[in-house]
Amino acid sequence: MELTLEEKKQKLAECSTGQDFFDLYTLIFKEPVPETGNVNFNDELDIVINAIIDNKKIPKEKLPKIWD
Amino acid sequence: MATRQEILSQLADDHEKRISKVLFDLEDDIIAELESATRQVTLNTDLAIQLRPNLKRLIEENYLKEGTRIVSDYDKVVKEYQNFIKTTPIADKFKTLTKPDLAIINQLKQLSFSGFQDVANRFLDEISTEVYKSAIVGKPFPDMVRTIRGQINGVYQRSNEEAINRLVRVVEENKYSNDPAAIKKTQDATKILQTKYAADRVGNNMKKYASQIAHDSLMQFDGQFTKYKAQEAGLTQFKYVGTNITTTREFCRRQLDKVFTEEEAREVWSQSWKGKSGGDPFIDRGGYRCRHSFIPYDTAWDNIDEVQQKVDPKKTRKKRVEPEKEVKPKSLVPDIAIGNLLNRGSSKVRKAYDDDFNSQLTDQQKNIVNKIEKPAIIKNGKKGYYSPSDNELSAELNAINKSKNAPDEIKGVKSFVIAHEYGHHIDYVTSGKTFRAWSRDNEDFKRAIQKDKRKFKGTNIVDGKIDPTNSKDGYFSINDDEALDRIFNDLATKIEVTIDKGGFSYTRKFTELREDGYAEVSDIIDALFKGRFRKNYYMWGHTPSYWGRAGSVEEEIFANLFAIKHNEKAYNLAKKYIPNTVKEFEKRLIELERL
Repeated sequence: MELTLEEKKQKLAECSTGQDFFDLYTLIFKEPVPETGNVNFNDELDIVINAIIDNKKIPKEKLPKIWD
Repeated sequence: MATRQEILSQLADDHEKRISKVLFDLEDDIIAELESATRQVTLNTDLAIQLRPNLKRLIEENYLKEGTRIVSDYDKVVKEYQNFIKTTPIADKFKTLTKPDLAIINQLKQLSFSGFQDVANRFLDEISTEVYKSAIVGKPFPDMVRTIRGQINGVYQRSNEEAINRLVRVVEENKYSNDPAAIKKTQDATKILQTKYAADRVGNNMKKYASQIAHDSLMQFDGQFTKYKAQEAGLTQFKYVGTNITTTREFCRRQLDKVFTEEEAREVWSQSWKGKSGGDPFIDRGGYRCRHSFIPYDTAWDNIDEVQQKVDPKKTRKKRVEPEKEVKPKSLVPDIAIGNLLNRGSSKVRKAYDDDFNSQLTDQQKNIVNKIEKPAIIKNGKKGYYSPSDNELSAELNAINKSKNAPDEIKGVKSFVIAHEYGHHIDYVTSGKTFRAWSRDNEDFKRAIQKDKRKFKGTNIVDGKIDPTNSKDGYFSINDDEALDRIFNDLATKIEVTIDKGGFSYTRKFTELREDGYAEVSDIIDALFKGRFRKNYYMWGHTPSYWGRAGSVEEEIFANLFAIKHNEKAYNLAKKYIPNTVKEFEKRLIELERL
């Protein structure tokens, strides 16, 4: 079932923890948040929230074995 | 000599105490009135209606009368403003009160008094309604009395039990103190009172609102008058002043002693935080019952002792006796050049890269780096990484750890990413094995990490089963949220912000690291907690799947220790959290130095 824009707005407004935002991403895109290679969780969360708002999946990146 | 802020605080406490006292009197008077009115006749709806003017009179005689006295006290706020402003070098004509000033003061006082009137009207309605409703349904008199007592003073209402009254007195005597023992007494007594009245606890009582109005009206009057006078004098900057106590909001803690223009203050105050009461920095400050305030300020006044005596005399005294800052001795080991290995960059960038790298190393580390083969390629890239197979390293010049979209007032701290990635390089090329890190295979280092992990609460797993004996063998999985809370407080603070974007509105947290190198310390903790620190606390670290790769925990801890070795604060925290691992790391540095 796809969320309507209003449902998406409602659900985003209800998010409180980092996990809530990740779960909403999974609900919308039917797949978990891919590795972004950000050591800073705050920046990773930005990417997740922007993906939800823009309705665009986060592209999967090939990360080096040892990042940051 | 008390500062302007201390006097404001004392006044606010005094006003609250006075309101508290009159509410006890009001409670007694209202109950006496009801008892007297129903001595001969049973309470009925006609009597209930007749009682309303009497209740109104009692509220006016007790509460509003005290409110009038309190508001007239606001002249002391004006006087304190004048005492402060006369120490500043502004033109004399702005240091006195003019006729229009007096008119403004009166208007502001009227505005403040209307807050007291609102509370009076609201509770007159509530109490009268309770009397009327009790008459209709025939509620027993003692039950009605108890409800009305609760409407006025909540759990602090008068009781027939002396033990309860004693607890109320304990709260009244200790609640305005900052002494930890007094705070504890207040908390304990309140807890018992809340338990006692749990069944019929009245949350929105008059005491709660009246005390808050008494406090906030005074501070709001101060904020508005100060702003008005500053504007008149053409002063455009304001300092946020006050003290830190245990209940100080994180937001206020961050803004204290900062100097803002009005525009900057309004921008900072537009965010959300817990306890915020409104968006005007000068009126609402940190929110309900906030004890902080703005004073007009100019950074040029920093060196005027008379001004500082009024703002913060402790700091003035400290400033006078402070010894000269110790100058760090210059390194005896020549700087190491790695800027020449950058795949691209001007000579200026290469030089800056060298400077940044060398600032992240101790002399011992420089000696080690000098002895060991350098990476083949270095990139000044946004994303940090080390690739052993290509002997390539990427680290950003002058990297700052701050979230990209964090609010402006969050300050960034230095990240020691060049030393971190170079730490990986040293770890790999000195192992004696191809594409394999020393830390991954060194038994003492690995054991030290396991030993440090066992300082936390957790579960020992042996052969896939929980080992209740917690033997030294097996894999130890940490589960210690209390420790994480403490460590988070050591390393960072958090703020909550509501963001409106593209028609969406959401609330999220942002983390601010307290000091340089604390992202590296965070990564060490995240390694021990396998990604939970990063994700649950909005910190710096790696993902659970990254920590699932064999060797990742040991390698990252090694690289992080290498990165923060030169920074006393960050390194001391690492010693506190993982003392055994730090010991093994230091042993390794000595070995490498002797190579």
